[in-house]
Amino acid sequence: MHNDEPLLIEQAKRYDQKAISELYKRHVQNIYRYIYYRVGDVNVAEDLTAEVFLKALEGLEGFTYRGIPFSAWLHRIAQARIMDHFRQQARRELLPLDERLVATEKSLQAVTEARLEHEELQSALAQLTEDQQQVIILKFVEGLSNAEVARILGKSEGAIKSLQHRALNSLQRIMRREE
Amino acid sequence: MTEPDLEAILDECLQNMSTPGESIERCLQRYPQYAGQLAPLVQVADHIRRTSHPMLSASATQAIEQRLLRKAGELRQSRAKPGLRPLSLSWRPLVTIAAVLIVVLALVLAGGGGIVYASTDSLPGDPLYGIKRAAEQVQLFFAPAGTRRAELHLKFAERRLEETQALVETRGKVDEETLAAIAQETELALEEVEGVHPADRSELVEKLISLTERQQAVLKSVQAKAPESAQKGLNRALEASQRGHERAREALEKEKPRQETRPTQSPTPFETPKPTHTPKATHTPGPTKTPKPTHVPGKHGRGQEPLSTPPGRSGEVHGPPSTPPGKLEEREQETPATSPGKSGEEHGPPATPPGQSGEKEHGPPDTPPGQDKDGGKDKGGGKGKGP
Repeated sequence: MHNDEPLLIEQAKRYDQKAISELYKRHVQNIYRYIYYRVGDVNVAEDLTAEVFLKALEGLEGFTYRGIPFSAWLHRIAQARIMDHFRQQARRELLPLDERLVATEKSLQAVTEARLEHEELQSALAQLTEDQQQVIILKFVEGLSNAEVARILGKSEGAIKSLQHRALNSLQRIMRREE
Repeated sequence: MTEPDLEAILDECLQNMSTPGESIERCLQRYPQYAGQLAPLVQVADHIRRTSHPMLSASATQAIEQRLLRKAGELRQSRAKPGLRPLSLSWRPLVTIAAVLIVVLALVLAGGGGIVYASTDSLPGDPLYGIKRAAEQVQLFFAPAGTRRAELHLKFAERRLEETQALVETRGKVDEETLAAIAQETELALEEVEGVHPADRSELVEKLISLTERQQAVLKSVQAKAPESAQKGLNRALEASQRGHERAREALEKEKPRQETRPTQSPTPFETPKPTHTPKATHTPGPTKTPKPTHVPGKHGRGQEPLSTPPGRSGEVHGPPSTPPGKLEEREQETPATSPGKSGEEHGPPATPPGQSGEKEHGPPDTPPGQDKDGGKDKGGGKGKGP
């Protein structure tokens, strides 16, 4: 965390444009990557990223440092948005076939545009459990510490180490199988 | 070795990987009996770390930032209770405004009301033109944020346009500052409109569209008569006007669904454009206006603190226009728009981040999404992928 972040947050609470821009620029790529690896679709990831920051802005007034860093708070908002997306998608699967085809074509186009490397990793991650995915993304994509991941997921550091172990075990099996 | 021990050793090796001078090999050498088990796991982690991860494109980054700043503007406007001017101002605008006030009020008190009045017909470069612009600043100074201010900016944009036309017709020249002021006043009107009450917004947006259309017609006619040296500035003004027009059109599109759900509200046509600059005999300049005691000066209501928390502040009024069409809007509808901070939720742990309030509708209140036990069947990430 940057030293000036609490000050920036206080300024952003008063809707200071510079402070809001600065906070956004510091966190946007991490939030985007976190969302992208969870949803696997560039367009959806962009939409959800926008939604996370808009929600954060609306709720900023109530944010206080109580053992949770700003980035962790953003990740929690992102997690809530991702879950909303999956629920909505589950409902969309009940749509008539034509509508589903349109949605699939769009996703196909977006995914083919994505780099192979991301795609492979995302595909492997998708086979993990929800918590395992989060631990891998937060620790190895975003480079957060066990303590930070624990705060975001609301678990102990011991639980994070355990999840990390199981997640890496599963991933290496998946990757070996896919080679 | 027990599982927890192996987990701890794995974690130690993973942490060491990011320490200078450390390597996977060195860590594995410390635990040779487990090297076979640890090596593939550490290698997977290393592979993920080294992967070139996706980046949000520059255009998307910028577009989201713009939406965020627009939203911030709306929220700021909604915080400022109409009729209660924000207090905090930086010194420079305060001093400038105070100086303008003193000069204009002194002129009025010294029987100079006529001077202010006479200045209304002045053109850039005239001795009284500064008084005219100062009087406008005073009007803005006392105008409450929202509809009134937006109307003033529209009016001043219209005036600058008339002045430009009059200058080229009577003196055969163009004033760059006045041209820039056309765009500036239009921009300020657009910004102000975003923060006004939805009931008033459509009418103002219609006026903005009408104004920008007229700007383009007038500027093109001016361009035909203006000297070569003025063409560049006129082109810039035309481009700025076009941008303003597009933004106003977008704003109107956003207003349409709202209008359809309300009783018919016919847009008030903007005042008829004047082909040439004509003195307005009935115009009363701003300085004579009685200041409202509840107002404290502010420049367009930005970066200022309200005197108190305004009642009725919510996202209800300003939320919808910033919601993008399509998927996001659908999500908003499904997730009750509980405005963060309203529900009394706090945002530290065990705080609920904004937007998570809607989660409770979908599951047991005590089970926030994404908090399932490891090994649970909630494999949300498995869904929603492209092929």
